[in-house]
Amino acid sequence: MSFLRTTWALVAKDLAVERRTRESLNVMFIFSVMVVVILNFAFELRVENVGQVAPGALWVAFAFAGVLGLNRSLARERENGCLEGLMLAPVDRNAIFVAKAAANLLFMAGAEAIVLPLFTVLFGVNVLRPDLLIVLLLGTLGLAAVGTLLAALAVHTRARDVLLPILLLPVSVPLLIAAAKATGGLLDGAGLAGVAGWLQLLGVYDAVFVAVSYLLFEYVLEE
Amino acid sequence: MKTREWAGLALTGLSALAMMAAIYAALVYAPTERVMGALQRIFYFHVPVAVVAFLSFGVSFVASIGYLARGGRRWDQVAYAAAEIGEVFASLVILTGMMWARAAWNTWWTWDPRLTTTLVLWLIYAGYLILRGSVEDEIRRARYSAVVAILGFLDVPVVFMAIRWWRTIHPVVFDSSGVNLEPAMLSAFLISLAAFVILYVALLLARVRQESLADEVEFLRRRVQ
Repeated sequence: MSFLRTTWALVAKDLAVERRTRESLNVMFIFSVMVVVILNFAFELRVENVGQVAPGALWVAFAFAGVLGLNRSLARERENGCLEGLMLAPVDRNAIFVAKAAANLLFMAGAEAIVLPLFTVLFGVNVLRPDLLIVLLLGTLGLAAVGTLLAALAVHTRARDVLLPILLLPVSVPLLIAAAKATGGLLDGAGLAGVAGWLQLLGVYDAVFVAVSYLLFEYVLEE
Repeated sequence: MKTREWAGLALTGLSALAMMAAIYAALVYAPTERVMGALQRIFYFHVPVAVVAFLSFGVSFVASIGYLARGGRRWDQVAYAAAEIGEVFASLVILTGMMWARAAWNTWWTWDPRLTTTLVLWLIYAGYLILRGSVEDEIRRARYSAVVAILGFLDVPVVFMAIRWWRTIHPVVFDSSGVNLEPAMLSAFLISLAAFVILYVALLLARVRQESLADEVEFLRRRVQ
């Protein structure tokens, strides 16, 4: 099978599992809403203009919910012995990474799509803007790629899913800073040109870390 | 004793002497800074410790690449030892930095690029050490931690850039225009830097040797059983 067909078959498998169980999407969605609600309580008492903290709150919700979804997605593979099966099959190892990362990107984007309108209502800040799409895409891409790599090794340790946030969040610091800054700039009406620097940083982060995660993934799988 | 053990002992003695010289150079020999006064003397410890911390994480990064490319226990032992020592030095950088910040800027903490990058790095390698503690299988542990060490070290310049754009108030002593230091201060700094690098090499060698002795003990224990 060609690389693309293998990848597509693996993504379709993840989508089929998700369609039947709705495990990842439900959990990520509910968890993001919970983070938004809790942050709102935490801020409401002191922060005068909630709009000022909205970009940070949004990305905290996405990052935390993403950790849950990534853990679920890779733990499922381990529980069913699915990764071992895939490694026995004549399948390109890199296709496994691309497929898992793509599926995780889709799930995280799906959860974000449901959270955004709710966030607009709860925070009173309109985040349903077309120019925000590019920030969401770049930010989620980096999280999904590095997260897929780290989740694949975290689920095979004794600490299991506890390890993923500890490994993923510090590495994602530049991505979260850039994404929150770009989001804030767009909400303030700076326009895409006004946040070009942050978008560039997101692009550099994605280029470096997608490539490195892709290269390192085979060492995580190797048995 | 074997030659290697003698060499280790000699290096440890040398680092003790160098450290005494560094303390003398920093506290007595170097002139008092005009604006900051005696406070500035922490610079002679803070900066070399920071250099060694980053150097150590760099050693861990190279050894991790070596492990994935070549394999072999030794690469993993060096990567582990360097990450662990780097974490200790990073803690010292943060602590001495906080003391400086309290006295100079009247705050224990500022979200300055260098301080924040060091803190993020500290968190990454804390994760690395926790990861090592939670994998039983040796080969798997070596492979996983190499992946995390490579990812973590590549993150350093990106973290630094991101936070630099975000905000900065750190004093820049070394910039592209050269060194902004009095000659006597510079020599005190260099003596201190040399002392910390010698100490680092002594610690690294001792730690790697300890790891291989632990391996040997494990091997013998299995044979007895």
